[in-house]
Amino acid sequence: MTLYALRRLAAVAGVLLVICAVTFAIFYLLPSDPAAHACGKTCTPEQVTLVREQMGLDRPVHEQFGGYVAGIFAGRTLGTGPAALECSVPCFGYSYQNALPVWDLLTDRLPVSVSLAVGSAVLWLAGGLAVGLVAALRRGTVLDRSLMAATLASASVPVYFTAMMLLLVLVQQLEWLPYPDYRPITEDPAAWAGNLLLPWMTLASLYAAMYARLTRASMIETMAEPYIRTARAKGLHERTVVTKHGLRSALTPIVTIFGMDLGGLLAGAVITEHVFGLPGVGQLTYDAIFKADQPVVLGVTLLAAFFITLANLGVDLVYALIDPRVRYA
Amino acid sequence: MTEQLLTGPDTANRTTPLLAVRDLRMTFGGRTGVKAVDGVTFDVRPGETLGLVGESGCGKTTTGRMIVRLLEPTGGTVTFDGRDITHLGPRALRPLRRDIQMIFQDPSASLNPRQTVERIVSGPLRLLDRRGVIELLERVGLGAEHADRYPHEFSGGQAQRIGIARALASRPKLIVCDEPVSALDVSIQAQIVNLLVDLQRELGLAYLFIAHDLSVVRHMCARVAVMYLGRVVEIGSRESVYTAPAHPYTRALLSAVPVPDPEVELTRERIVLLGDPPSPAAPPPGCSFHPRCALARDICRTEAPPLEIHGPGERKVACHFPG
Amino acid sequence: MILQVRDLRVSFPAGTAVDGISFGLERGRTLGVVGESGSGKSVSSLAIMGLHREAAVSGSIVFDGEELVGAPASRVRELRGRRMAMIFQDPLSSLHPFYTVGEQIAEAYRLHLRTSRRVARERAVEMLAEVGIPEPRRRADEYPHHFSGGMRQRVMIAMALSCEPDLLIADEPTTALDVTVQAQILELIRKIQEDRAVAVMMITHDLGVVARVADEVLVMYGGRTAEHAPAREIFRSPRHPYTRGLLASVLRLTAGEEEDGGRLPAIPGNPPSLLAPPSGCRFHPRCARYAAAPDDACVTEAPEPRPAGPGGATHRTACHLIDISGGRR
Ligand SMILES: Nc1ncnc2c1ncn2[C@@H]1O[C@H](COP(=O)(O)OP(=O)(O)OP(=O)(O)O)[C@@H](O)[C@H]1O
Ligand SMILES: Nc1ncnc2c1ncn2[C@@H]1O[C@H](COP(=O)(O)OP(=O)(O)OP(=O)(O)O)[C@@H](O)[C@H]1O
Ligand code: SF4
Ligand code: SF4
Ligand SMILES: [Mg+2]
Ligand SMILES: [Mg+2]
Repeated sequence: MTLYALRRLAAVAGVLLVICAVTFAIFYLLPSDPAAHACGKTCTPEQVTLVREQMGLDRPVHEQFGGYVAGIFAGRTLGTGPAALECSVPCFGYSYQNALPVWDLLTDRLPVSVSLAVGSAVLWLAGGLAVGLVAALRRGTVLDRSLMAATLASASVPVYFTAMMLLLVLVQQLEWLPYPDYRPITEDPAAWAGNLLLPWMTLASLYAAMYARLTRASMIETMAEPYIRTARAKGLHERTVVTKHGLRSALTPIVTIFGMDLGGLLAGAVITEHVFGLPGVGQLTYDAIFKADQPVVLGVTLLAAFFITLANLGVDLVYALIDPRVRYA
Repeated sequence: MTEQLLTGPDTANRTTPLLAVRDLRMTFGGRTGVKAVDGVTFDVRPGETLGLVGESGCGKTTTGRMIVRLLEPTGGTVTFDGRDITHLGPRALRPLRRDIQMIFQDPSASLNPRQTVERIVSGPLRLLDRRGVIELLERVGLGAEHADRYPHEFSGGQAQRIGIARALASRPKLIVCDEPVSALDVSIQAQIVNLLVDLQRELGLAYLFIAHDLSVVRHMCARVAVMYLGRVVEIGSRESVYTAPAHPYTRALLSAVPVPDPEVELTRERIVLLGDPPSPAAPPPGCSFHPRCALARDICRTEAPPLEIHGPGERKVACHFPG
Repeated sequence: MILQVRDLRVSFPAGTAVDGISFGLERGRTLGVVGESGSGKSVSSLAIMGLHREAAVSGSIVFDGEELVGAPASRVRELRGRRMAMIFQDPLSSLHPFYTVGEQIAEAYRLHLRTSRRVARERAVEMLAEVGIPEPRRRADEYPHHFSGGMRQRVMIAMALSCEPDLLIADEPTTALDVTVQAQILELIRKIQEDRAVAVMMITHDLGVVARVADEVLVMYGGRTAEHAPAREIFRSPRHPYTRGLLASVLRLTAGEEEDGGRLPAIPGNPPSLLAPPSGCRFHPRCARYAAAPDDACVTEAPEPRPAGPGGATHRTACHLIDISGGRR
């Protein structure tokens, strides 16, 4: 198991390096003048020249890439002379438009995105699994059909629409919740949760609907397995049959999807953050794309890749824990 | 008739074989992989049925697939009608595909669900027009009314008849039947067995009849080869193999088959083998049957017994101590 | 009589799968149930175990003096796994892939005998030893996918017998196994039955298996009884045309009459459909006796099983035109 985990970890490092190279190629080599892009629309030609030198665009491609990767692990100095910029470990480049290293921008925004992702994940997992389970066990009844109709509706509504509706009803009409305004959990946990409740609900309503449908399908399939019949033939209580024998197998496909979804969200929920004005990685991405802030776009892309590969690894490890057949393969 | 088929050491020379398999080998997954078939040798003469029996995983299907050249053997040769077809490429194989056909175990799964029976039977080469298809359907006990239906509308036995009609469409000389009745109900099995026997008599077909059911093989086949773990351990006429089995495994296999007669069951000797069939990924050294063989001695654990003539006729056995 | 079934009927929304079967079973005896695919063998046995969830079960199932049809579900559950146990055709899919075989065997024992985890585990090891698994203590901690087909079926048997039931229902326990392994399993069931005086209901479509193990045989056709008699009589003097056809068409290992090229006396036609069963006697479209001398009763009236044969009342046949002593009717 440990060996397996280590092997997988090595593979992850390899994958990240490849992704890094590909993204680097896209952002640094394709544009005719990356420096102009990085510097921004308002730059003077002198500034662009400076940036070009700092980015090392006059050097061969492999050196540029080597410098970038080395910067991640050792930090580096961008450019030379008095205008040189110190970029400490881990250096993911420098955002000229924000006048900050990309890493600082990311670490600044990350807690918001993580709060949003983790909180809503808890909500949607609980809600989705519960609804899916009930629907599966009451399969074919009116309850099942109405729940499934509701999830279909909920899953097909765009996020911004849900967000608007929730804002309108819960904030403006009923005034039950404040307008979201991010507070770090370290400062005031209650305010953190209260302010994030609305975005959580928005994201969760979308995902919970998908998870409910998924859980239902997976559970129905599992409950038709011969080993469930065996469990019943032993005289186990239906409750035990469902939870111990059914649910555990039914959850395995959901683990995979959950890993992917969470991994993606950790690197920022662009629309949700934008709608609620939350200063997360998603918002940073949105702004960076809008302003063509290339070093930042490259940084968030790598961050997303990192989270997704990490989630993938997590999924595989959890899988191995759940399913002994994988463990020994 | 049986006399004529079975006696004399020169039987093999009387007619040249239609199919000659020599030291055929198939290893899956590289050099260290699974030796699914590990040196199989036999002949099938024109119009004859050779039975291939053995337990699950002993390499029967793999052997059949190499003969119809769905698989390329990793060793040995397959000669059909005097021509070496072991390593023919796809283009050279095309005319051969007409001469050698295959019928599969799972009748419904081997038919394309989106094609009508007419299209299935006439095949990708459109060998037959509608009249020809209907003639064939009638020959296998179906009718014109079935030609436009789809496979899911048929029962298992009917689907198997369609599979047989499809195999017959190209007027083959040899049909490899891979467990053609195993998936069918008892009462339907007899219908299909009768059909295969009738077709053979009318069309002079040769069959390689693969099965794990020794009773079916006994009925269908004048000669029988018994496989264990990728090798033929005994081969010979039906009489020699069924009434005087010489290999300990053949004896155990025969005694394990339940006979539908309570009185026989009460009195007959039963050899219950120890343990499970071993995996072809890690075959035991020497005689691969030795861990389960009551007669095993030291030599069995170190030296693989060759397949040699033993007893009357051309029966051959691979055992150091044949009975 | 440990089990007495009278006029058992099982209906699904799609149609009636079992349409009035009756039989009794003594301790220590084996009833062989034969019939083609879809003749209702499994459906009947699941009804006895109380495992149907979407079917209407009527008639009477008396287990050790206690009526099970209409009994509270909780009562049937108490008996299930404790006093009546079942093993199934496919031993791999009938075992849960995520739990060790030791856990799976111990589960029912712990539940029904209210023992500690340790005691139940000891029992599991003991049962594994009893069904002939080498190194039972070590193997108890392994998962089903580590076992061969025959060993999995041994595990199923160990599981079924751990609570010392009075009735064991085996639904095609050897159909998925090789003949040499089948012989081992049948031998094991026979030995255990002798040691413990368990009543066994052996469901199979293999008449050879029935001849090897059964004291009595119930031949089913289209959800009804065709013939029910002591095993010896079924094979020696079958009365029902279907039984006769079946026995005649069975391929034999030893008989010498049909040689290569000889034709088998096959039963023409296909098994009946559950949705639109033939009227009257369900066998009439395929019946040789009816074809030879058509009788209106065969088409209009379902024949009831009635005593007919040398065995007197113990040999029951459901045919209007039974030939008892040479003559018809
Ligand atoms: N494509 C393949 N790759 C790897 N191994 C294979 C492949 N096909 C077959 N095998 C292995 O080769 C061995 C022989 O398989 P084969 O299907 O020929 O057996 P068989 O005698 O037909 O058995 P059965 O009675 O179960 O059909 C088995 O152990 C099987 O797992
Ligand atoms: N849950 C169900 N819903 C509807 N019909 C069913 C259900 N289970 C079984 N049936 C039908 O009941 C009939 C009898 O089925 P059963 O499984 O008892 O057959 P069997 O005699 O055990 O056959 P086999 O040898 O194939 O196992 C079949 O026609 C089957 O399609
Ligand atoms: S060679 Fe030895 S081990 Fe092999 S079958 Fe013969 S007696 Fe048994
Ligand atoms: S009742 Fe009629 S149709 Fe049915 S088995 Fe008897 S003779 Fe045949
Ligand atoms: Mg096969
Ligand atoms: Mg069944």
